[in-house]
Amino acid sequence: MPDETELIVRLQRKDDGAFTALVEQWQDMVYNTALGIVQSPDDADDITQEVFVQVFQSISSFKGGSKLSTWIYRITVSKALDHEKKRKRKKRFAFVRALLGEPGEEHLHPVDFDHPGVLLERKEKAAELFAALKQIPEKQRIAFTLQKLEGLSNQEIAAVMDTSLYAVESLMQRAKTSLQKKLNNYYQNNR
Amino acid sequence: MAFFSLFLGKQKRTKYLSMNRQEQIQKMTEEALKSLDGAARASAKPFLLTRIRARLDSGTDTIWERACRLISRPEIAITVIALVIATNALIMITGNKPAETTLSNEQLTAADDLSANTAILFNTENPEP
Repeated sequence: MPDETELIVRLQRKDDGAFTALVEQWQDMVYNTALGIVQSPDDADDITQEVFVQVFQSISSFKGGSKLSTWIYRITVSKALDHEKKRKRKKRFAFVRALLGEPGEEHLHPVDFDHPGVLLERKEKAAELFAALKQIPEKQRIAFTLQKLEGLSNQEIAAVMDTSLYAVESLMQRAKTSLQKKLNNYYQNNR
Repeated sequence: MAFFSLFLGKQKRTKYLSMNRQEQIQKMTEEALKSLDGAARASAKPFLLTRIRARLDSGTDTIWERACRLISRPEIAITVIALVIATNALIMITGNKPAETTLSNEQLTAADDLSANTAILFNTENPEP
């Protein structure tokens, strides 16, 4: 595994082997993060490709102000959020088309999401948590996802989200409270 | 008395059941919140590198393609249309105002003073000595 600085230099020289090494090293990290945010394997795969294309195209602008992984996480989160916005726009458009009587895609995405890394006995609860995650504010969701799925520390999350450690701690606290409320309401009404 | 104790018992039972349900919901919520603990990282689909390379090879957008993509974004398209409509409306409103035709006395005097009397300037028949 090449040293990070050396890898960056080689990537900036558009070295093919360096790019292969980069993809092999970070592909699961990017895919897992994207999957946690968009909750769709196909979309996560598409985002993963977009992230590496972006990394390849803009590595020359990477000045080394942060770790390479932090920079890649930032691109991933940004791409995943863009993807979500596009998906929402598509849904709105489909709704308008449905109102106009034109046939549109009825179900753009599955309702229940099953993360492949979750232990079998926790699958059901995890699906309920992912459904609740969709309903909480964006920043809280990102902080929670990065911590729970990627195992990042609050310090690392602060670097990815370009915010302070205190802000991340606050986001995590609010995310847990919001999720507790959503899940509580869900269980009150469905169990 | 028997009725009273029976009523109290029912109340207690309802309260107990309600507390029990609340505890159960609390437990389920905690379990759901902890359901991602120890989750393994999901792996990317196979042949990702090949697909990225294909995308890199095909994805050489020209500046016009990028510009078209930017313009076709709904928020930009709507803003541009709104600006065009607003500009048109502004031009129509200001263009319909009647032009000021009346001149003040000062303006008229100044015009008289500055006007060149061409008849005198080009009077070639009676040249002055």
